[in-house]
Amino acid sequence: MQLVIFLVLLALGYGFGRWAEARHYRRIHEREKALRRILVIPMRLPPPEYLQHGSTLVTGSVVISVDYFKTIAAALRNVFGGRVGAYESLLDRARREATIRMQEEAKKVGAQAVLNVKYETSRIGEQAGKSIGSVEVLAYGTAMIPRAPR
Amino acid sequence: MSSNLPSENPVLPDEINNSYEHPLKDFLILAGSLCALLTATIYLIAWTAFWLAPRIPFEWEPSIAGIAAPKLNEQQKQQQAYLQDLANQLSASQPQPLPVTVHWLPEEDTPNAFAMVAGQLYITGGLVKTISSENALAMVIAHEYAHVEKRHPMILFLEQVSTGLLMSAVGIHDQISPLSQSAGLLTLMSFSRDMERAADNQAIELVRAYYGHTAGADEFFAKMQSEEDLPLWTSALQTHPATSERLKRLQAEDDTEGKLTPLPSWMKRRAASLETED
Repeated sequence: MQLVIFLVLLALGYGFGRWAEARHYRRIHEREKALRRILVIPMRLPPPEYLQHGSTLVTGSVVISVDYFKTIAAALRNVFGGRVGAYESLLDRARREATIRMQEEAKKVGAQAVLNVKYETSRIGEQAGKSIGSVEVLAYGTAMIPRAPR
Repeated sequence: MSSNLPSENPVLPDEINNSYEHPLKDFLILAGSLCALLTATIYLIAWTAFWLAPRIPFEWEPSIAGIAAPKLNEQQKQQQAYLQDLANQLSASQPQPLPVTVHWLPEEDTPNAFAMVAGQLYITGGLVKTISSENALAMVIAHEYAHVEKRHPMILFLEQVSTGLLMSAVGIHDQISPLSQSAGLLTLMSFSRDMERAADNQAIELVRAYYGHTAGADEFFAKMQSEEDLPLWTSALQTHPATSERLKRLQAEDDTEGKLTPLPSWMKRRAASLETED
């Protein structure tokens, strides 16, 4: 029966979704802590400290899939309106993960900070007919690299 | 040069961009309200259909009917004429009987009978095979005739058309359609069971008026009960009330003793011989 399939998918989506989200947040917290010294700064022009630094583009991008439970919860929100909490946590995770990946790249090139950080987001796979889609978040900025080791 | 820059990134708070409300709570409230809303709407639609259908002239029904009459040989035509005659006699006790057309489906082995718009009654060969007396057959035909007289096929037609329109007009997201359809279906089924009870009640009256008693009227239900074994909780998912409930209702009549009228032998024999041909 259609309803049974629906409920099974819902339960699977909820179970795996919650598990993956909890695990992802744990990893986000660990890595944010580890990368705290790679500054993430939104300002466009370098502050005086970085005037002599070299620079390069660093990016971090992440694609996260929506699970079935979130889709249904969002579809219900389509009827009643209001905040789509299910997607808020998804995008929060995606933004922070993208930032972390950008910081990791910056660390690799020896940068102290990433300036002028911007985010872009786009959806993927929703045109394919099935509306369970994925979301991509791209974070990018200018890595400030000290010219000579101090 | 003194630095204005922080030495580290701040620790990001988790609860600003992510409400951390339990997702199930939100989901259950929304799903619950949607189901409640739909149930109320469908209830209203069904109630309106019940009110409206008897006010639509019966003569208009053929215009919405797709009449499927199976091809019959001479013997089968004789059997159909017998069923038609029985239906006519049963309805004759009504002050204003509606004209019904009985269609005989001798090749269909599933015991079943149903009524459609424009007074189309369908009786399957499997049903006649199941029963032993004319009284039992009369009860089934009277039940289907009662559906026609109470305009139940018209009610169902109105319900289906308007719920279909509602679902497509509201354009509820495809993904939650299993949820909304189930809510709608459950509501309609409860109305459907009410219709069956009403038809049973009237059928008892018709059978009593024709034979003078209700003996044998429960035979078909008794046979069906011995075959079905559904758990009680499924009763909310059925279009018909539980057979045990209907059986109890029939057996509660105080005139269940009486002389049974046998089925004409050719009615049964040919229905049976069809089986051996297969």
